[in-house]
Amino acid sequence: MSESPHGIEERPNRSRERLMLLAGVLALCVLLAGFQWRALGARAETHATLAVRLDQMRHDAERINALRDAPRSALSRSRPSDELLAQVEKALAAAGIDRGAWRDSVPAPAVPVPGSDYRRLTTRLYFEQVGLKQLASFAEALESADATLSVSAVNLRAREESSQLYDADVGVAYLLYAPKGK
Amino acid sequence: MSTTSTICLLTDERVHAVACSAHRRGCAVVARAHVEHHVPASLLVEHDAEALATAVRQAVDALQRAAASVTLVIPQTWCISHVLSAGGRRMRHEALVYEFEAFLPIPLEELTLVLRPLADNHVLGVALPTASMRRLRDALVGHGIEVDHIAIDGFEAARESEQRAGDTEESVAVAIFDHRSSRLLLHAGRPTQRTVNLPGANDGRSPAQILGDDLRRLLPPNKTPPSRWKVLDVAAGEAAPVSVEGVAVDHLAGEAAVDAIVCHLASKNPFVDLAAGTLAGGRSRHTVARLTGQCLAAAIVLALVTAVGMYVKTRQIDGRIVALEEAQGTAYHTVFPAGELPPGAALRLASERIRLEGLTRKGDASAGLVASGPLVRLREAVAALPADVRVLLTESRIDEQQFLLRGQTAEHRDAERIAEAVAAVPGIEVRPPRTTRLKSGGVDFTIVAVPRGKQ
Repeated sequence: MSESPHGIEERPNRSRERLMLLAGVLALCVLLAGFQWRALGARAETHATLAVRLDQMRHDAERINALRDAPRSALSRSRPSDELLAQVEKALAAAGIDRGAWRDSVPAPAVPVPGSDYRRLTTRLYFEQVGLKQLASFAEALESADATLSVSAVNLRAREESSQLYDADVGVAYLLYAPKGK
Repeated sequence: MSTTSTICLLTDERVHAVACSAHRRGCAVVARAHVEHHVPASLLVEHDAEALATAVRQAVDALQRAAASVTLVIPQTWCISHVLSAGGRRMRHEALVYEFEAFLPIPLEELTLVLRPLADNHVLGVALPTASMRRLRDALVGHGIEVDHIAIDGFEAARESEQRAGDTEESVAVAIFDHRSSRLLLHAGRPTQRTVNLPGANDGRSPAQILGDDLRRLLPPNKTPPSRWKVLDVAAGEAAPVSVEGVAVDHLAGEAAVDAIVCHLASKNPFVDLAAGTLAGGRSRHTVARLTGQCLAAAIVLALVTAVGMYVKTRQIDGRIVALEEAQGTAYHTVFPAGELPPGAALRLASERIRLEGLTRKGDASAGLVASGPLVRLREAVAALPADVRVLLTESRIDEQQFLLRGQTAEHRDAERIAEAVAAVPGIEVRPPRTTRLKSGGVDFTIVAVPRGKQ
């Protein structure tokens, strides 16, 4: 009696092989689930970031569109001197001051405004024989024509020949918006 | 290093327990014990499984060795066996079972069947009544004994005998002589199942005569008698020299016969192990393997469902991300209609907002007098002057740092009233005026004011 099988297809016991195959498949499935978990986490984080960013972008866009229509109080670049002088001439004409009364204009270097991102550029205008009323009209006409311009200083000296006429030097200034790093 | 196994052999009137140690050179009996007990001749008749289990427990306890599991060697008469011929072709398991079923006296569903391939394209089929054997196994478990293997005495005896002979072509017959019957186990190289019930009393014949008569009765008719007999006499106390005319008899009795059947089971699995299917032990690897497989399959399904669920969720989020990016583009193009969406669109919008806020901020960022214009301040001062005060303004300087008025008036008191009027201008503090009497009459005054808080 022999123990060796010959020619008989014996039903093999493959339980161990089957278990190993199942364990291998399970490992692959767990790996796959792990990859999907990471992908889902990354995607969710991206979604959250984009949602916050979109809210901010919408807020900024709305604000920008509103500010574009608002009157300016400062400039982003230096005004060319001839442009400023043209504005002065228009204001002089509006105030009824003779062009000949305007003797000189001296621009000063830009001065930083403490505690802010602004710099002030001032140009001193020198006049002779002008009245107080004319000067007030000139200041009003200048500031009405361009909201960025303002009269920052007025020095008057009465003329000897008339108490109604003055020699004046007027400081005309505007702000330059220059954040740090620019 | 040796391992010790506990083997229980059931004979007609005894339950034998043998502790065998297996090592490289072979097996050795470490301890033996037996308990007198009437073992049923067949599982197909009613029997007291509990009593038999108790006898097994007593025999195992008598070994005085801890044994939580045993190999149970049952009588061949408990089984139904048959040798099938595959007829030179490869046969599947189901086909063999179908052929074997023709030789069964009871339905196959009531049996535990094991098929064992043999040489020359033959298959040995052995079946055992499942319910009866399970009752005995459960009773043994109740006594704290797990049955690892169920072997059959005849096949183990024949197997061992063949191995000792070492020559499969020799015509060897193996038989077991027990109390109630004698069983022919192997003849001409084939397992057989031929049992002869022994007479109840010795009728005066000599042991040799009894042996010779019984041997002749065991042989099937018209069969060639074997040249050598292996007789395992488990009922006798000791072997006596036996000679039968023309026959070589290798006679082992008592403990030697028991050892010949069971000892090799310490190092080898049974030739046919009926501890299969529902007769497998409580700690069967098959059951554990099945449960493990089921758990693994469930875990695979769970992992797959989880992976698929997360994949679906990921795709959903991808869709929402695309919508968000499109919305970002829309928001950007409300400010910058031309051009494509740049990579830093959000920063671009934020930068533009900050720039415009800087250009449109109300009021001057500086402190000082100029918040409301020098000419406005002069006008405010003049408007506050009393109507009855005459003033000749000769000089004024008005800027962020100072408010100065210089001129002439009638009296010192008028200069003070002028200073009070200047003090009405918001945001400035007026110092006491300086006055000088003029020779020509009148008073020359100088009024200075500074921003409030700056003296």
